[in-house]
Order: sequence, then C-alpha cells, then structure tokens
Amino acid sequence: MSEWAPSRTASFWSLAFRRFMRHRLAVVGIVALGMLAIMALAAPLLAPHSPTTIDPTTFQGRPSSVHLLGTDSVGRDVLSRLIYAARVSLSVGILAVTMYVLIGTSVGAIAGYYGGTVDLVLSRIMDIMLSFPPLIIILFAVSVFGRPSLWNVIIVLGLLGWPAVARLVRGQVMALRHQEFVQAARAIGASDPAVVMRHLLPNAMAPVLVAATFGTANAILVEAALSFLGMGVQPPTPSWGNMLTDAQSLTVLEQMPWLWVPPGFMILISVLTINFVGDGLRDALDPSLKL
Amino acid sequence: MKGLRARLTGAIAAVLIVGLLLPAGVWGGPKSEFVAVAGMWSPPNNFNPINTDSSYGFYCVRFMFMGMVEARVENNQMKFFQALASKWEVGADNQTYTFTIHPRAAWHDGKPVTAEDVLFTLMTISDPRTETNRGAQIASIAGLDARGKRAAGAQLGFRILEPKKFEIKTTTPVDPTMFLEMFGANVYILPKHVLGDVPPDQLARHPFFHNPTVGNGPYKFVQYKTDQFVEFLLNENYHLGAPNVRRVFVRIIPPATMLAQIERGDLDVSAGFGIGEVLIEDWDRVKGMAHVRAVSFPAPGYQYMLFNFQRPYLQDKRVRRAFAHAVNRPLMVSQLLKGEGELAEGPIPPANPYFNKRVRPWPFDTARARALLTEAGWDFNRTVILRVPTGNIIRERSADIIRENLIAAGVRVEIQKSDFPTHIAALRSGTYDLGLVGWAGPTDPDVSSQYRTGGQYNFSGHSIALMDQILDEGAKTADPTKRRAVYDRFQEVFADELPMVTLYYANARTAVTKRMVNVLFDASGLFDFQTYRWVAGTQ
Repeated sequence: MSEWAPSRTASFWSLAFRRFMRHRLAVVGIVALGMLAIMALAAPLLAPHSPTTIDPTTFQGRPSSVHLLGTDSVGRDVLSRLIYAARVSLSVGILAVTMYVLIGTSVGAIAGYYGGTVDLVLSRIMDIMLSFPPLIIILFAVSVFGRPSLWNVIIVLGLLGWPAVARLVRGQVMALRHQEFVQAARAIGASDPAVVMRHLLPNAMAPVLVAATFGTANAILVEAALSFLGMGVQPPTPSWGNMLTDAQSLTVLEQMPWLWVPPGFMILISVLTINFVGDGLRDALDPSLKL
Repeated sequence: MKGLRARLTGAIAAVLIVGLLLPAGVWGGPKSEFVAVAGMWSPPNNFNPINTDSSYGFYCVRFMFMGMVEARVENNQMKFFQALASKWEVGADNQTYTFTIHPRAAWHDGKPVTAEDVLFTLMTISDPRTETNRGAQIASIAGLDARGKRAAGAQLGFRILEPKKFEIKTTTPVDPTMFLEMFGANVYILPKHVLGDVPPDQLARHPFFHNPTVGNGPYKFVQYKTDQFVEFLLNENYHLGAPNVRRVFVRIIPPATMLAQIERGDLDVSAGFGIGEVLIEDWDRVKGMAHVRAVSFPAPGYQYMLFNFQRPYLQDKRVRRAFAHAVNRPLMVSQLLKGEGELAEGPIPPANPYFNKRVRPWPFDTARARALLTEAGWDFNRTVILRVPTGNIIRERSADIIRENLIAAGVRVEIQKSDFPTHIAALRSGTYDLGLVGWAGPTDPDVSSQYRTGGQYNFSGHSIALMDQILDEGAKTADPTKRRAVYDRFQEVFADELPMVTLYYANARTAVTKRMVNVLFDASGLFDFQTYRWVAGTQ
C-alpha cells in the first residue's frame, strides 16, 4: 500500500515537468530568474563600484563611462546598487515565502485533517488575518518590531502571509482525507502524522507550489513598497524599493530617468518572470489537464 | 472572456485618462486679480491661535488673527511694524512695555479690539488648565513661571491704562527685541466677547477653533475643506487698509506635485520655510520659469548631529572633534543643497544679528579625525548607531554621507531610520549614539532650551557648567551690546566643547508668481508678512 501513492506522484511530477517545458513564457521566466539569481550571488564580481561609496564630484550625475547608469542623489553608482539590490529582493521573496508556506501548510493540514472544533478555531483565525489590509498591518508590524531591517521585513511577511496557503492546504486535505487510500493507510494503523506527511501533503502540494510562486512575486513588491516608504531595508543597503525614493519630484521623473527607470525595470522584470513561472506551474500541475 | 477583458482594459484606461485630465480642468481657469492661491504641504489640525499644533496651522491663523506687531529682518536688523498696535513704547528700565491698540482695530463682527481682549488672551494662556503652546512666548511677563504659567494667587504684570492702551511688566529687564518678537509678534489675540465664558480646560475643544468667524486680521474665515484647502475672504474694514485681494485660498499640496502647480500658474505663493518649499531637485526649473519669482533666503533653521552624552566614549571632547572633522559638511552644502545653503559653524545662523563671524573651527579633514580618535583611544571595532528621522529627504541623504565619511575615518556606523515621533522617543530614552535633528528657533539668541543642562530640547543630555553660566547670563542681560558680547563668548565655548556637530543651514526656497506684488516673508521665514498689502495682477 505504501508504494502506491509515491509511484502515482512520481509519474504526475514527470508529466508536469514535460507540460511545464512546453509553456514557452514559463521557460523564458525561469531562465531570466536564474540570471537574476546569478546576478545576486555574484554581485561583488559584477558590480563596477562599491554600492555605498560616494563620488563627491557627481551627485545625480548622468550616465557616463565611469558610471554606466549614472549616480544617485548622494553620488553612488546606480548600476552597482542595482546589482546588489537583487540580493535583497530575491532573499525577501524566497525566505518570506518559505517561512509562510511552512506555517500555512502545517496549520492547513491540521485544520483539514482533524476538522471539527480545531478546524473551526483555526479557520476563524485565518479569516481574521485575511480581513486586515495587508500593507497597513505590515507597516504596523515592522514598526512595532523595533527598527525596520531586512530581517524584520522577512519575518513580518512570513508571519502574516500564511493564512492563504493554510486555506488551500485545508481544502485539499479535507477533500482527500475520506478517499480510500487514506482510509486504507489508517486501517493498517498508520499514525496521524504519517498519514498527513506521506499521503495527504504530497497530494496537496501542487496548488501550494503555484501559490508560493505568486507569493514570491508579491513579497518582492511589498518589500519594494516598504523600502520606498522607508520602513524596509535600511540605508545604505540598496534595494530596488529604496532606490525609487529618489524619484519623488517632477524634475527627477522628467529629466533624470537613470534614477528611477533601472530599479523600476528590475522590479517589473523580476515580478513578471516569477509570474510567468507561476502561470507555467499552474498549467503544468492542473490535474484536469492531460498530456 | 477575451471581449470582457478588452472592455475592462478600455474602461480602466478611460478612467485613468479622465483622472489625469480632470485636475487640470478643475484647478485651472482664468486668473483673477481678486484671488490669490497659497500652497503648503500638510493640512492644519485646527485654527486655534494659541494652540494649533504646527506651523501649518499658524500659517492659516495669521490671515485671520494678528498680534500686536509684525516682525521682519531687514539688513540683519529685526524691525517691527504695526499690526493690532499702532504704537509701542519701551520703558527706560527695559521692563515696562506700553502698547496702544489701533483706534480702528476691530473684530470681524464689528466689536472693537480692546486691552480687555489682550488681558483675556494672556490670562487664558497663563492659566495652568489651558492647552496652549504659547507659554514660552509670554514667560518673561511678571507673575509667570518659565513655562508661562501663573501660580495660584500670582499677579500678572498687566495694567489696563485706557480701553485701548495697556502696560506690561516683565519679571526682570529683558532685551526689548526679544520681548517684541515673543509677545508682540507671536501671541495672537483672542476675542473675549466670544470665548470669555468658556472654561479654560474646555477651550481647546471649542468648535470656534474649527470655524473661527470672529478674527481681527485682514482676512475672514470662509471654509476649510478638510485636507484640500482653506478659504479666506477680505476684511473690508481692516484697520490698516482693506486688502486688494478679495479671496485667498491656502491649498494643501504634497511636495512632489507643487512644481506642476507652480508651472501651470495654479499656485501664486508657496508657504515658507519647512512648510511649503520647492524641492531642491525642482529648484533650477522654478528659477527658469518666466512667470515665477524664485525667492531663496537664509532660513533660521539648521540641521545638526547630536552625541549621546550617556555614552562614556562620546564624553571625550577629542572624539566629538574627530567626528566634526570627519564629516564632509561642505559637500552637503555644495551637492545635497546645490549651493542653496550655508555651512553651519554653530547654533546661531550667519543671517542672525548675534552671529559670531570669528568662529570657524572644524574643517573637513579625515586624517586629522583619525589622529584625534587614535589619541582619544577610540575602539575601532565599536559600531555606533546613527538615528535618522524620515520626512526631510535632504537630511536622510546627509546620513548616507555621514556614514561614508565616518567609515573613512575608521568609525563603524549603522543607520537606523524611523518616523519622527519614534525618533524623538529614541533620543529621549537614550538608545542611540548619534542622532540627526533639525532646529528652527526665534531670532533671539537665547538657546537655553537646547544647550542648558536639563533644557527641554537638550536631547543629548549634555551638562557643561561654563555653557550654563553663559546662557543664564545672556538671558538676564537686557543691554543689546553686552548681550552680543555674551553670545559671542557662547559661540566660542560651543565650538570648543562641541556638544553637537552643526551641519548646514538650508536656504528656504519659495516661489511667488510675478503677478503677485508685496509678497514678503516675516522674521521667522515661515509666514507671510503684511498679507493685507498683497496685490494680485492679471498676467
């Protein structure tokens, strides 16, 4: 009996992989994402200058041979900051989402598997958390946490993002727990954790993976918004969001595009590619689609 | 599905386009010689002449309520002009001040402004139950304590001589310029016949302060559309002459959109220093506009970096000097401010009559900073925390420069940003090493509240006996020449002790359309001066 579920999932995943590779935008997305990841990891090798060093001769300088994308409002190289900022955005996206997927999956599995009062209590907590306007509560949490920092942004996003995932998992687990293979596993005496971990969760993972991908894109956007508001990553650490704070005047918007187009473009590209990957995953993992 | 999406996209695009065009249509329109539009960044919270919580509130109050005089700095000299008072005399003892209220000065409902109204205003401010921020302005009057409050049974130094003439006695002789600025220009008179029966503890919540229909200034209150604009109508009976401008609108405009409004000619006057300036990035463009007069002037405020004196390693004078040498302040003036400012060499601005020109002590010198730190035994592995409030973008940028400069001198720095109230709370609780703050004070050089031991704004918690002694002497000295000598000495001691590093004085950058005539700023640099003389042309 215990071989039955894994072998089914194995063939399911390989089918899904083939379907994913046929989704052209998703492949483009994953390649671009890979390049972003390499850029983040190899930032010290790629960046022409230190991201914090000030060039006292040019503040808000035009792109030149020394500064390919110009300098920002305190004379730092925009290109170097752009490259280093990829580290912030990607780590926020990946770490925060990993955190809330873990929490959300556990809570959702417990609620869905046990049902009854446990489900009632956990579901109401999810309802309450989902009813808050997210950005406001995140702003509040970041400031209550003490001082804003990269880690606080990650922790707050991680702690606040789980209810959506928990709902997904709960629904999946609820639908699956009365199926024969689960009944059978119970009948031969498998413990609750074993049933959940080995039989239920692997079958509930597909939608979670899709949600996590879209969640990553969202986390990058939230980090950018928080940093733009000064509540995210602290200076002088560059982030695409806090680089955009330079663009708060009409003159900068109209006459100094190098201050805001590059970080805006990077946010756009990273979010777009992750969403392409998410689209591909959703189509690939849709159980109603056949090869 | 596709059709629906296309239609949706079309609808959204239409809404966006209409949304972009709409404000132009609503706000544009022909210019009239009867209307002037001023712009400031944030809304006023109320129009209480003795308690509105910000300069935004006072900016509006001053169209409707006047004090005894108006003040303006001309050729480095403070000059006073009549407002409610037509005449004022300073006694030979520098302790007795007699004011005569203008014979035609009247409230907007026609009742005359009298000495009774002034007495009522002073009694209200000095009542311990009243919520007010004008206490410090009247604290020198006899019978009041340092916060401007009256102890039980204390007699206020005030005498009504005639219905429109009164005399004020101060506790000790004071510099007449200081008294005229504090009491004369900054205390706005309340109508006794409207508010006389309101218990002092309920005054702050009185509806009058949201609908102040009975004022004594050149303009009358019409309406306040929350967070949008305040509208005033001329007071045709104003005793110094009816204004030429019929209606004044004070519009609330965020800093980033101010430029567009100025460019389109929808804005005639940007409010002053710190409440409605032109952004530094936009300054060159405003200077190039044909229909605008770009006015920049030295503002009375400066930015500084304070040291937490609770930290033993910052109590060494050499360490503080090293930090002063390390920070590239000229770069802040030349690049961050694009030259629109001046290096701050001490707490009294160069435009102030009490400025001591001979004190110029701490040039940018990284090597010297490093040597001083080594000499003082600085631990180069220590990380100091630099706290920075958000809001003032130039100040936020200066923090990045300070950090790089200190790193170059061998000091490790971590920046911590927070909103202003959190920042001040952190300074008060001492959880910082270095902190950035700005200061804007009256022209009077008495800076005890910042630099004296235990002063209200002494955030760094320093206590320097010699400085205390000089400040006390300055506050007591009435003779202007002797007073100048005392404050010259204060500035020398300040440069030696360096309780904080003063960074720069940013110029106030304001814009006035050329069709407006007689638009001037008062001594504070924040407010408009003699608004009843404004003339709006039709170009």
